[in-house]
Amino acid sequence: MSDILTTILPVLDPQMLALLFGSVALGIVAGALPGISATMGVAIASPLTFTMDPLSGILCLLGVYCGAIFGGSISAILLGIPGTPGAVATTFDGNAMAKRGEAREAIGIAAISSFFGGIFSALVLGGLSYPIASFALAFGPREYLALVAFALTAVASLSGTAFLRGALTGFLGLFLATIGIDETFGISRFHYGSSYLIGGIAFVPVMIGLFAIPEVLATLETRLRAPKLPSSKGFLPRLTGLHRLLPTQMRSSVIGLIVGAVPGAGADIAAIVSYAQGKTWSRHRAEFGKGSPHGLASAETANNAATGGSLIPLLTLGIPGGAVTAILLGTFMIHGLQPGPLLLENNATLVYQIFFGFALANFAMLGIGYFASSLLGKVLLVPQHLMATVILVLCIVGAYAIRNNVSDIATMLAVGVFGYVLLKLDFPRAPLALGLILGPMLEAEMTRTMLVMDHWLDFFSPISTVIWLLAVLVIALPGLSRLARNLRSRRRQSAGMPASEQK
Amino acid sequence: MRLGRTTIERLFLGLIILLAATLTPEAMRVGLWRSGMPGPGLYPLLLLAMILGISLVLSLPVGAAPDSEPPALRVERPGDIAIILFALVAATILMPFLGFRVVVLAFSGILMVWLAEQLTFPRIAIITAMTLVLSFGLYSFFASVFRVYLPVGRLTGL
Repeated sequence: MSDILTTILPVLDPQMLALLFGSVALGIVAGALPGISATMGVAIASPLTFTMDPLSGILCLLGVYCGAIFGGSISAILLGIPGTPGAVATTFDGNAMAKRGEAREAIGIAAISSFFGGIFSALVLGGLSYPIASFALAFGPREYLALVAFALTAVASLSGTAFLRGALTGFLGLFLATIGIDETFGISRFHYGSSYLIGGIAFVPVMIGLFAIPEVLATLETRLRAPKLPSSKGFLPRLTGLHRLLPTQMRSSVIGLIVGAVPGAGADIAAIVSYAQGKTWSRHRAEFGKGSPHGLASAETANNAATGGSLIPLLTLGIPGGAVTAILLGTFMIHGLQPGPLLLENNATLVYQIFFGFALANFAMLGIGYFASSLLGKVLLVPQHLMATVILVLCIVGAYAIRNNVSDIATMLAVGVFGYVLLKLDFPRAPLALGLILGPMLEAEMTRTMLVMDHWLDFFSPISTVIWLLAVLVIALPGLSRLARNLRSRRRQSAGMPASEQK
Repeated sequence: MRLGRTTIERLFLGLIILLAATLTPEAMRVGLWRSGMPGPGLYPLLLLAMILGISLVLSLPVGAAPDSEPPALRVERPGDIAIILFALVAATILMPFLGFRVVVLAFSGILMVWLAEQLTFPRIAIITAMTLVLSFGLYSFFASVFRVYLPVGRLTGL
């Protein structure tokens, strides 16, 4: 009992609670504004946490992450525009509810469903992390090499564009990580006499440049007019019959957690998969798309359950599954911590404090989402040009703060322009981020693997073979599903089904 | 001369190919094999080979049907985008000389005025207040709360 109290008391400190509450609120505001994604919010907040102690810094970022994923539902419901990619499925039913005059109820359902998904994933995270980490203690260089390759492959394959585009940006990220001093031989590479490049490319300016600058530029291109918010009576959401959403929330929590744990599949894919499953299996499936609370709950529960799911591979294996967890990994490393099985061995107290703090962040999100539902919509009235300028200034501060070096601002700018070009040409940026953060690990494990090999077959171990096969499957999956669709279509054609009824 | 999306993409990939080819000698210079183990140049060389190969594949013309042409590349408000990028470059160059407070005061003021669709007296007042908060306010906030000391200009002392 005293061990449990020793673990949770620092998280219950009033200053820590205020920090957690503030970061969740900031995250909700960031997520609510179209054009500011959860990734951007975490990227900009990340350098500000480096002067904090590890627990405060990591909980601050988790608060922003949690809050932003829920926050995306606000503009999805009120405007029909997802504030974050994870809220795309929320627009299907949330906006329809708002048009019926039930905007406040929709935000209330979103808050409660997000809380349910987040708490479920926090409990599973706490329960499963130790067994997974214990299993991973047996991993050697071959297994880690396969894991990193799988993570990069999955992110490239599931990025929503052709695999080769994701692979190209992934390899670019891996190459960027080689600039500077080689860790094995201590030889400097690709610096061409620059004292700045000898130190390597700093991770944080690249993250800010890659995810913040292009989004700001893209948002200013569209320049939405001040929106007209739908009206809704009362102050607090009137929520009756919430218990009827429970089966939907439970199913969506499981889906969100599993999808979130897969590298490359984030809150957006979790929400869409959950919504699609709800449309197939729910007793209320006929109402989906027409303002159904079940449709809304399906999407919102899953996208927040994915936040906890994405932390599982990060904390237990040290493998980030996407851009946000890549930034979290960078933050851990800057605080002198290496996520992975040894983190739970050597810093178990800190890890369980993080789990507890993550659960508390979900409570904060519920409180703000439910009680401030009438105020949250006002956030959308902030003029875009003011918001864009504030974000750009914060980007400059964030890029500078990591090493107090003006050259890092230049790096952020150069990467920002490059990221904007990638955005315009439909090349995914997340693989580049993952490549940069995982590059040193990949090189080190590859070198170690080659050193232990006497024969080429030694490259494979039973566990690493399974992981490599999964990586191949992930690459082949889009092609296989296209093939299956074509076969189904041909079978229907030969059965004489009209074209309009073929899917 | 207007450039289609495919042409722009091929130009982009061409630049990547050129960059990869330029960096290859450096990878070989640091050594591919040392003391009986992979050298510091082997891994980057493999990466450059993959980058080169993938870029070449992506830049090859594919015999696609006319209706599967990619959507046209559009940059809305290119003037605004150019102004923002120019302002960011200028801010970066001037910051060591003029300091964070002066540069951000000018940067945020110019940007907010340029991007505002209508300038009314209340808006000017809001913009003025915001530029002061973003420059002097942020400087003090980060120094006192986060102990992050933003750049002070060599010429201005601010």
